[in-house]
Amino acid sequence: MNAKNLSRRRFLELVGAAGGATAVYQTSMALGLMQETGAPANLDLLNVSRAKKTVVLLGAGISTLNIAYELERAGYDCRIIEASHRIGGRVLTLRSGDMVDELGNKQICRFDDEPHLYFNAGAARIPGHHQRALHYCKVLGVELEIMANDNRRAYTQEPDAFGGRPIQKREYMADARGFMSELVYKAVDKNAFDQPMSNEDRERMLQFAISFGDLDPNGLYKGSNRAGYATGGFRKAGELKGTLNFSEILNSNFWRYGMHFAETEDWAAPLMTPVGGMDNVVKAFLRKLRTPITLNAQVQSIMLRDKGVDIVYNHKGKQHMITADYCFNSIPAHFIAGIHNNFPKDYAAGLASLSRGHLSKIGLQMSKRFWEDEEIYGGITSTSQEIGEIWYPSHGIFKQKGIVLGAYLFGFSRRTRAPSNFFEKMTPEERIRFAGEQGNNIHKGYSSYIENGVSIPWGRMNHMMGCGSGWTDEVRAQYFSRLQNPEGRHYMIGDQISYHSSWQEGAFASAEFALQDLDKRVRAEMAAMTGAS
Amino acid sequence: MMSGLRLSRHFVDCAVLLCLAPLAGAADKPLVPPEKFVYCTVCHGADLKGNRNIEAPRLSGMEPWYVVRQLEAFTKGWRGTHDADLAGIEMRPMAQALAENDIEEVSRYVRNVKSAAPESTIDGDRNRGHALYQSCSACHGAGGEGNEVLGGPALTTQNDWYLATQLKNYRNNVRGHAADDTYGQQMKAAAQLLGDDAAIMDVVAYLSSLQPKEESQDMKKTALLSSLLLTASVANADVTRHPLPNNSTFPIAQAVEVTAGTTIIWHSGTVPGPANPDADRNSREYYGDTETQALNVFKRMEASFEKLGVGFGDVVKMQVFLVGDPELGGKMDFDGFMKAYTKYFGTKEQPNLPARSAFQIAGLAGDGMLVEVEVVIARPK
Repeated sequence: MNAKNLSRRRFLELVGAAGGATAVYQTSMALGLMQETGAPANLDLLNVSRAKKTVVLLGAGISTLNIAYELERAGYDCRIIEASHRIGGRVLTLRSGDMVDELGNKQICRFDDEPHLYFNAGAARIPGHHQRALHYCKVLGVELEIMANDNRRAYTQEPDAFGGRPIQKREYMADARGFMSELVYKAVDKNAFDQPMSNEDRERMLQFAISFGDLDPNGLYKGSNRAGYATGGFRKAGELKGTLNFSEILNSNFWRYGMHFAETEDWAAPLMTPVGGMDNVVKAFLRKLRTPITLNAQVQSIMLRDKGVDIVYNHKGKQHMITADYCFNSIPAHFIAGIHNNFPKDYAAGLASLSRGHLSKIGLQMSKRFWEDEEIYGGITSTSQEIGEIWYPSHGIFKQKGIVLGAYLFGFSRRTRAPSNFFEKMTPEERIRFAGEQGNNIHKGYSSYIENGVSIPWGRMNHMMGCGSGWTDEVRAQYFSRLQNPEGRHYMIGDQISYHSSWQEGAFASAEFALQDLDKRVRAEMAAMTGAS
Repeated sequence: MMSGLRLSRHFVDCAVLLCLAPLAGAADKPLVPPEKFVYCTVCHGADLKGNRNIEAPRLSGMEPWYVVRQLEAFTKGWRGTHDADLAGIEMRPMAQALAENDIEEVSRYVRNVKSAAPESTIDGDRNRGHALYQSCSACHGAGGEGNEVLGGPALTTQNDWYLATQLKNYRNNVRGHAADDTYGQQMKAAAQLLGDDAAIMDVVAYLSSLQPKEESQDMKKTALLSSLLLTASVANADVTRHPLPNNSTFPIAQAVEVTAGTTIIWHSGTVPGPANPDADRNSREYYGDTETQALNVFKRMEASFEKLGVGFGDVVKMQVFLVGDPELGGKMDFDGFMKAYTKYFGTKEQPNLPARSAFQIAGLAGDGMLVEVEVVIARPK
């Protein structure tokens, strides 16, 4: 660093960059994860029991369950039509005996039948600011527990850095910050700025750098107990680990994709998850709902009419038609082109412009909780290998077995940038073997603990064929409002119609928007009728 | 947990057969797929018209034999194994999941599904595409109608964006890469002839312009009308038919003259279909004798002409290829051919005669085939 040319402002910018704030902000913006979710609206829906309003909801996932729940309470007559064999959409918790309906690759989950051996194959986490999701957990009585999303004792591992050796995240982060702080300290100490700083500023900066990087009183980084002791610390004095090589840290990639993970919008610790599985959210809605739900019913036609919407669906080899006053449609947008409809051209074009996301997960039943022997209790190891992440269960600590998330692929490989379709095309057995081999580079004997596993490539799950709708900035600008607002009496909904695609909060937010819009128009209609009579 | 299938009070819900009237008419009703093939419609659409968002091709209108062949190609790994063929990779396990009986059954289901004609989504130079297509027409037919004998599927019933993707796949060795995939190899070589993307877009734009559109009924009427008009005047402004000299009654023209500005159609050779498909493939009965085969050829040409909006009266030039009939000591059965020919040419209803040549040749593509007829057509204005 050529400190001689640093202006004070530039220096402050640099501090921001080194400390991560700017970098983190830009990273998360690039990932499209930085939108406000806000507090849930106070829905005060007009009761319409006497007006006999009918509503058909397409798809049985979070957004439609939420809408049916609210409308039912306001006296609407609802029905839900679901194409697949189950309720919940991408809220899917797999347990012993469950069927995974991957097109061409049906699997049965072979986990042992134990309450703690489950796998959240879709939605898995609820951060504290997802207020709509938390609101429904609260009112529906879904018991939550803290989930250690971030664990500094878990590892970062890259085949191309540190000889492929897994490094504790705490060690990597302490050293990275320590060295950065030392550079900052030196720059401030030498007063290497265009404009001099006040003595007070200078002194505070030096102290800040010492504190931020855990430097010694002379502003040198010589290791820190933030990285964990090499030995000791209890019956004898703790001994610091030797430091990592700073240039090797800079050569590695973890600081690009993982170091600030737990500081991003949705992933800042702590996160929460329902005790016993994410599908408890779905079950909680079902306990309250009277709305009939028809499963294995595939929609073939959606026709918008002046006074309602006609839905033709196919159930057990027969066609049925239902006519309702309003339709709430959570069918993945990429399917709409294959369904008969009379949508206006621009509306159909908007729906066709969303791309399919390709999230895949693997759940592995491990014969032994070997990670707990490595002082890891919950949290996530990051790797630049294709599997991306390993999640250790936060629940069931000290039980014999546990379900580990063995791969988390979202779109493409961090290292090779290969699209994660490579993973989709493998057979379920190949995927487990693949996850095992890459896991071996992180934990010794990892694959020998694998008893069985399930893989869920959402891009090829029956009636889903995707997870995480892709919106480019241009598509967002052109179509978001068009699709968020109803076309006639038809509302497109779901996490796909939100700024939080692939999160339950996105589905809740979309449902909330639609409910408020419906209520407004129904109030206006009713007022007009009353005025006329 | 759920309240089951209780029908709610206010809903209209019944089997569609009883109340589909509000829909746009019976033709608009998607066919209910057999239970075990419901999953096909997830990606290919309720009426199998294809879904670009999933890169799933149109299946409605696809010939059953081609459906079978492609499902087998997926099963064998000829398709759906190349790293760059992401959509094919998605399809392959579906094909693998089908039992052998299922493949036949699925082809029957596909044959029964009707859907609206594909929309044109690709811009290109149709005239250039037309010229480029000439090399394709040998296998896929002059009007892109397909030719089972040569293994070329129909192209006019497919979505244009899918044709473009597949042409690129062939050109880039993403499709047709397997050594024993004969047809794929053949097509890969053919796709090289097209060269760049622009050429592909032009050909596809041309094919898309041949696709049967909604107004095709009207177009057919117009075509019929104009061929009637042509019948009335043997020599019109565009086509002059010079008769054979010496008042010959032989039903061909000495020469046919076509003025500039007339659209000329080169129609591929047409071979017969089986006269008796139940007969053994190698038996005489399968294709029949020369007369039977020629009648069959003209019938097939009639179907192709109808799609092109032309009639036998518009044919200006014909080449007849006859294989020696083993039952006639290896000599061609010219008389047999003429019996069939005179039912279509030189009649009261259809007096227009083409310039014509006939040859005896050593053999045709299919064993037992005795007749192939190739024509040039002047499109009526």
